[in-house]
Order: sequence, then C-alpha cells, then structure tokens
Amino acid sequence: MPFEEKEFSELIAKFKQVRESEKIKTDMGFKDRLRGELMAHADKIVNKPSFWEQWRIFLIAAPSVLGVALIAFALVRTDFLFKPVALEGDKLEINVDSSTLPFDEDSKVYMPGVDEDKLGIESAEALRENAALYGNGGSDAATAKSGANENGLESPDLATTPVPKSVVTPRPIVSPVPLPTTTPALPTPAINIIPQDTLIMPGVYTNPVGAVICNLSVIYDSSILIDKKGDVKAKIVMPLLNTLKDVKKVTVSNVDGKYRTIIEWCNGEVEVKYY
Amino acid sequence: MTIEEKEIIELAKEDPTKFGILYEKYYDAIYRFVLRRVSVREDAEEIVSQTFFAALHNIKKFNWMGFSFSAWLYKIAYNNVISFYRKNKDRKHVSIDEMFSLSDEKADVMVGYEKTEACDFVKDLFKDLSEEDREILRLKYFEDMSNIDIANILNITPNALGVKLYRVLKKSKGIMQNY
Repeated sequence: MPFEEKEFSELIAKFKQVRESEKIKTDMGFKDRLRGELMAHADKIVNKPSFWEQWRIFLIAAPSVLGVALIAFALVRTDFLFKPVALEGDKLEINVDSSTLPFDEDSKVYMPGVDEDKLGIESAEALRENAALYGNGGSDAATAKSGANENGLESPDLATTPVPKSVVTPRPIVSPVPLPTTTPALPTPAINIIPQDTLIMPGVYTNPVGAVICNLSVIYDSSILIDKKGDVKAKIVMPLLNTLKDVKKVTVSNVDGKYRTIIEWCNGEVEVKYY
Repeated sequence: MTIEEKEIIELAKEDPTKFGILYEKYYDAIYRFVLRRVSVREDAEEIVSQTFFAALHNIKKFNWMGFSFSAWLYKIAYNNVISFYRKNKDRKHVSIDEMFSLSDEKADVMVGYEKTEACDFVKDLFKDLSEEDREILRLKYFEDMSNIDIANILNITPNALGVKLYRVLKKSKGIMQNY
C-alpha cells in the first residue's frame, strides 16, 4: 500500500468521491467524426506513394527539360536561332557621327581614295604606302587600290580579294598620310578619318549572345570586310580608340542594311549591341 | 499495460489503420483530461483532435521507456493544452470555481461535478494550492495515473514527484483539518 493511502486516506477518499461525481457531456458525433478523419489519414499513410511514385513525373520530366534546354543552348550557340550581326564575307559600313569627333571640319586627315581634288595621283601613291604601313595583307592592298581607283587608278575587285583569316591584334598607330600643302596640320594625327565620316575600325565584333565574332580588317574606303566568324570574347582592339573616346556610337550594317549593330565603347573597350 | 495492448501498439506501428483500437480505448480519458483544462467544447475538440493526429503520426517513435502508452498520449495532450494557451493569450485558464461549477447545462460546459460537501472542500483546497500542486493532485487522483507516468508528463523525476506529492498531501491534510 503506498504511503499516502495510510496517512492521507481520508483526504484521498474525498478526491475519489469528487472524481466519481464527475459528469462529462461527451459529443459522440465529434468522436465518430474524429475517428473517421483519423482512419482516412491512416489510410493515406498506408497508401503513401513510394519515392518513385511520388517523384515519377519530376524524374521523367527533368531529363526532358534538361534536354530541351541543352538543345536550345546549342541552337543559340550555333546561331540557329539568333541571326549574327553579319556573316563571313559580308560587307559592312561603319559610320561615325563626326559631330562628336574631337576635330573641327577643316582638320581632316587625308586618307586614300577620298578627296580627288586634294589627293590626285601623288596621293594615290601615298595611299599605297599607307596601306603597306597598315600591313593588312590583301584586304588592305585591295582597298588601297579601291581608294586609288577614285583617283583614276586601276579598280580592284573586292569580292575576289583574299581575306585575312584573323585580325585580332591591335593595329599599330600609324603616322598619317603626308598632307598636301593646302591642308592644315592635324593636332593629333593618330586617327584615320575618311571624309564622309567613315571610320576605319579594325577589330573583333560579336553579337550580344556572344555567338558571332567578326574580325574586321582595315580598309581604306567606306566599306570593310569580315574575314571570319569565330568564338572570341567581344573586345575591339583599336589603336584609334583613345582618340575617339568622345564618340559614343558607331553604326555598323551590312550592305543590304539587313543586320545592324551599334558599337558603343568606353575607356578603350567596345561593346557591340545587336538589334 | 497489458500484453494485448503492447501487441496492438506494435501492430499500429506497422499498420496505422489499427490505431483505431487505441483511439477507442483512450478517447474518453483524453477528452476528459483536456476538458478539465479547457472548458470550451470547440477548443477541447481541437486539442483532442491535434493530440490523436500527433499520436497517429508519431506512433512509430513511441518506445517503451518505462512509462505507459496512456502517459505518452496524456503528455501529448498536456503539451497541446500548454501550446493552446500560449497561442491564445486572450483565453483565460479554467478557474477553480469554473472547474467545480460546471455541472449546469450551459451549452459550452462539458464537464462538471456534483455539488457535494467533498466537492466544495476540494474546490476550496485547490484555491490554496499552487498550479503545479493542483496538477499533481489532478493527475494522481482524477486521472488515476502512476507516479512514473505523472513524472513523465511533468518532466520531473519520479523521486522528485514523490517528494512533491507527499508535501502537497501533507499541506492538503492540514487544510482539511482546519476546514
């Protein structure tokens, strides 16, 4: 017998008396309802799907989604979905808004194939020298000839001109073509500007998805050639760039005007935006 | 705990649909236990429901650690009552007067005691005791639980419970003698 039943028997008897007089109103409806819910839940626990059954859809769908993503990625990378800025062999025009250039209108840099009045045969000779200085292989030579053509020299066929495979390295800054006596000296002759605001820009271009790179070679008329498309990070290396730091935008388009891009640069780095 | 009950519990661990047997056996006791602490029927039903669902979910975790299965159920219910009052701070705990005067036919009143001399004494006695002392007496003499089970519910050692129980009985006896 526990200690308390002897010592506190009278007290405990009162507790038991109270307990026996207890009245409980039991809601049988609730009891049955709760039982039903519990059993339904128990059934769910018993019939809980296995890991495979539970994640079957996901496990099946995941590789498919991944596959589609990979295919889409591959298509993007292979330019299937996104048209490149320009294709290999396309002719591009690059135009610079001369109002932003740090030169006044009179301080022109004479370039080959542009100003017949001021250049003439002697300048055509200078043009060839300049082309040689730029050292851009057949392309440069051809364009040099093209420029010369405007001065009455033989015309080259640009389409048949052999195209250098890669022109990625920065061009050396070249001394300007000797100026005719009628032309004022340039303050900073490190930039080549063709009248009609055409800028010669060697470099590497890509579209925003990074899929196409165009290597542009230096040409001495209002067009440039794309030598090759490749997969190089877009960074245009231009010896002219520091001089052109105030120029914000250059428009590039192919001859049909089909693909256009805007080149923007800042602090010597150039970004090509596709639109 | 009988061997049969142990077998049912082991069976329910494997097959939760067998939990129904345990539910039938302990529903009334748990319902009463909760009603004595939460007098509003809807609140009590909510707590009872939570208790049995928690038991169903966790029955696999139930181990024979010296206390009974009923003590395990009571402990879940007890913790749910505490949790209920924590969440619903605007709800007042059942006062001692309410606890012993619930025998009328109020709609929400589900538990009560006959108005006897013993009932009046216990009501007055409970007013002089601390909440913990009242809980020990209720678990011991109203729920008929063993010291081990009560110690498990209140998270104290059985020895500590024995000491507390002796003290509260001694105090109660003193009150009774002066009553």
